[in-house]
Amino acid sequence: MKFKGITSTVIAISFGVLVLAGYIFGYNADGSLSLLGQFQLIILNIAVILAGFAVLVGIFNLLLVHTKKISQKQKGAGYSIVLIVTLVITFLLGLLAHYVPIAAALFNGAFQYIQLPIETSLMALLVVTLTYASIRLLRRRLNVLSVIFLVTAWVILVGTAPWPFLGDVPFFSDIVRPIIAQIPAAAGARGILIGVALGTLTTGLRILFGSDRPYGGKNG
Amino acid sequence: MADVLCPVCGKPNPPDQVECQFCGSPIKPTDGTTAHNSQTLKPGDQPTKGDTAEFEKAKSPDENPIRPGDLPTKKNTADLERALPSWLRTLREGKRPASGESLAEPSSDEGLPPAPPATPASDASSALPDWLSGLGEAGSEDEEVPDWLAGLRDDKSIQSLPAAGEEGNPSPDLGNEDWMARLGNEPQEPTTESPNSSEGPAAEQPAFDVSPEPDTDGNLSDWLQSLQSPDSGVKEPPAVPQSEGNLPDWLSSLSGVPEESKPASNEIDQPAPAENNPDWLDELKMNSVTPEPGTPAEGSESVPDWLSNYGPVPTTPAATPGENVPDWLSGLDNKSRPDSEAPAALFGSESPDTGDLPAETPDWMSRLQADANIAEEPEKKKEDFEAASEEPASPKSAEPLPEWLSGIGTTTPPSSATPALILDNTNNPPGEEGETNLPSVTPDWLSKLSPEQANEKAAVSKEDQVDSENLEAAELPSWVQAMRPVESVVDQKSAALEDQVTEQNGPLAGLRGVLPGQPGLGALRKPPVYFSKLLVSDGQQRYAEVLERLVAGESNPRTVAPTKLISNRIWRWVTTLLLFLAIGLPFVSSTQVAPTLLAASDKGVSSKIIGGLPANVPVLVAFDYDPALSGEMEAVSAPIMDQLLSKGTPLALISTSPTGPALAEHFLQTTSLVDVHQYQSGQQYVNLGYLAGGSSGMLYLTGSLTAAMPVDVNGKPAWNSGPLQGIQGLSNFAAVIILTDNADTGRNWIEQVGPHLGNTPMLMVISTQAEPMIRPYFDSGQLKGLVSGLPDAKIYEQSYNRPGLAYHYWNSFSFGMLAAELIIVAGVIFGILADRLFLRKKNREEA
Repeated sequence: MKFKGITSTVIAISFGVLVLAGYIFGYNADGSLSLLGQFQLIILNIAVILAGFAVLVGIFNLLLVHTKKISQKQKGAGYSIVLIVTLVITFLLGLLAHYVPIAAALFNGAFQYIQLPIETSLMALLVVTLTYASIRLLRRRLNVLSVIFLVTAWVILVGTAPWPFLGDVPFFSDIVRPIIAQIPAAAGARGILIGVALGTLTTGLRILFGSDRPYGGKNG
Repeated sequence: MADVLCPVCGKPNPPDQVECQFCGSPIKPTDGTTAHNSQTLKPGDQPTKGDTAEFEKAKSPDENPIRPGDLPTKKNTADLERALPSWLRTLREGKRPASGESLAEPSSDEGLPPAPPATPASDASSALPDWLSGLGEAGSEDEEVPDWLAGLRDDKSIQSLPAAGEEGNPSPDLGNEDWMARLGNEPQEPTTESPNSSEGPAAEQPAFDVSPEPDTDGNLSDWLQSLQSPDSGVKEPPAVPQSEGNLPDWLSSLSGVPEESKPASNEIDQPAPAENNPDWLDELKMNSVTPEPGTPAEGSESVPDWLSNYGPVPTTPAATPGENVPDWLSGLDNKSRPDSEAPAALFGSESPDTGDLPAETPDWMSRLQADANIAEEPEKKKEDFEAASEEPASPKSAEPLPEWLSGIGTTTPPSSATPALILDNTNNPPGEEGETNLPSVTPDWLSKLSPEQANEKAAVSKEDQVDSENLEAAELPSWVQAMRPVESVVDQKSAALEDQVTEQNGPLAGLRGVLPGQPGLGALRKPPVYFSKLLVSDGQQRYAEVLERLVAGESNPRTVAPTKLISNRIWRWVTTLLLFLAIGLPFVSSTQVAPTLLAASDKGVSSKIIGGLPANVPVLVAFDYDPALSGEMEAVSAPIMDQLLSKGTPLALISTSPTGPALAEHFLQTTSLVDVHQYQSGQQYVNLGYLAGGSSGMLYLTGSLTAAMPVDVNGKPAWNSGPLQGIQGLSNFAAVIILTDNADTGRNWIEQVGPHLGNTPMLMVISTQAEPMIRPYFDSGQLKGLVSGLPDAKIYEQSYNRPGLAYHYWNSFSFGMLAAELIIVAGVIFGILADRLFLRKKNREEA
């Protein structure tokens, strides 16, 4: 265990430092890749392969979970059966799409006529849900924050879409909405991103220094 | 070489000194002594074969061996002379030591030869008491020293010391006769004792048991050290370890004599006729007292048979297993102590019976006593050693014992028993217990000695020494006597022992003082008392109260007043119906009721960039949006892609989302304004497929485009032929257009790929929801063009006068948004009023 922790720590730190150095010294003066840049690309290629394989692992895990659910006859096992059948069919069509034209047509049709409308319809239902939630918001929790939230959403709606026959709503479309979207909303979102970036930086440094070992070890 | 102590004054003299340079007394033996050297039995020499049949003659067949409690029978010791072996009688007759020869003091370690003449024989004979003078006469008449014994004496006498230890340590067997002989100025009657002691088995040589102790302890007196020195006359070691049968080497060599030359044990055990008893033995017999019953008789095996004939001699008290004291000495002791307790040590021990003894002391005896006191060592083993050798001279009877003998009488608690442990011995009076547990090789007198006794002996011996120097002990103040260290030690030890606890159970059962008698390692004391009340200031008390209230408030669940709402289902259906009508009805109508916006968000920069792109240079288009938002994204992207496709620009499609490649195919094949261009995969565009890894994949794509996406979705090579031929990197594309609804995805493209594009512009078509996050990149110049949402798409179409999805969606979008705004406002107002009405009605009902 101790050797495993040390080994993983050494690997993580060394590869992290090399990739970080590749960002800085990855290119020569003439624009060609340096040795560190080439090494960085190798590591990135491995990461891309692992990430692609992770998708397959996720799909396999999903298959196992629903298979277990069916075998244990849990609630909603019927939906699991549908999911597994659909998954297997789509997977096979995707594999055969390169070699069998009808399989390719079926594979594209399954996406175009099943997945795409379903997801779009779910997004369309969001309009009704959000509208209804806005109506009930003040009835559920009548406080300042709720009022502010509801008023802000309403102002953005007014400023985004032109009213029929009137067009852009004066003051809302050209003043209020841009100010809200570009200043408080962007500032808040940017602040969140900066916090995330700082956290990521700290995490990266902790990993590089060996203080944090999420891959295993004492602090992992 | 060690100095030789003067036997008279006890002062050291050079080894080659014949006479004492201090007192002028002769140190070395006279010629008469050296005359026996020729017959000295040395290691390896074979003893002369003697006729042991004479012992059989002298043995009375009807006599019984001495038993414990038997009184010795008075016999004429002259008869015993006939029982002596011929060689011994010959020695007596022809080789009797000269009168001036001092029979060396037989050491307690048996093998040691006698010490040099402590006192001149003439002096000794003249001052002998009556009871000893008889011995002297008998010895002078009958007794002779064997050659081997004389030789040993001669060899050792030069080196040995005349200290009290020598004088007071007559070996019970062989040494006793020498000791007594020296007292009587002539060899003591060794008739049956000498052969017995020298030729008997090891078990019958009890005096040897004490000999190894001085060797091991190194606390030897000078005379013992001189005996052990390699320069001594006799080279054999003075003693034999107990493991070897308690025999010294010289005696072991004797035991190696052929059986025929040895007197048989039965021969040795043959008691001499009663008429052969010496006078002193007769006197002892007369004074013997029957020992107390119950005394152990285990040591009866060490009683010589010849002495067993004396019957009444109480040998049993001192007879313990392995005891080295001869029985005849034990008998003496027992006779003097009718309570059958252990004989006290002669030297170095108190003698409560001193007053009973005659006060007259010969001069030579006084000197001997002084020498004994000088040579006495404080060490315990030395004391033991001396005590063992002094046992025979401690009778308490009214016999005319010399004063020095009586003065050295033991004060040891009389006991014949041997304690099992030294600790017990210090706590319990000796002789009460543990006798039978004593090893057979441990003499009784040794086991009975305790450190207290040794200290007492040392103290008494010192007092005796002072007495010998005419110093009156009574002159000491009482407080000085009270401060004697001996008594204090005894008191302290006894007090400490009283506190000790004898274990009753477990493996330590029977042991005393091994565990503390009280709990804990130190003295118990009352634990300190601490205040239980916390000392805090007022401020701290306030803070504590605040914290307590906060904690209590968190732990108590809040009771939320139940809010009874009007049926949600009606509101949901009403909301849904209004939205459907607001969105559906305008979509059916082809009339634009909503006015068109005047300017796009990027102010037409994207249109200009796309319009300036070369027609034959491929453009990389990333489809990174979800199918759920494909309605918006396709409507927004259609006018831009229409512009590109209208120019015949080849496309390279890529996606960091698994559904992106399918969405790209769907977009090119089905989307309005795009589908009219009939772009074919592999000819006008190449669908590179899915790029895994997120931001890492993007970075890898910038470093090695062809390696990251080597083939298209159909498995065909993407870069060797077709529209992407000649493309080696992202900078070779005419432009990079990102179609995304996710701000994070757009940010990754900007941050990972943007810096490596060089002069290649990056445009981004995004959903309205991602505009707040992406627009700063456009404002900063990292993005060259930005198309955000349906309004910008409507402006884009309007600028090129190619109505598309944006155009068709615009009325529905305008009416739907307006309906939503109104529903929200109306719903909020109605809801508040309804709740108020409901509460008022409820209050009325309650009132």
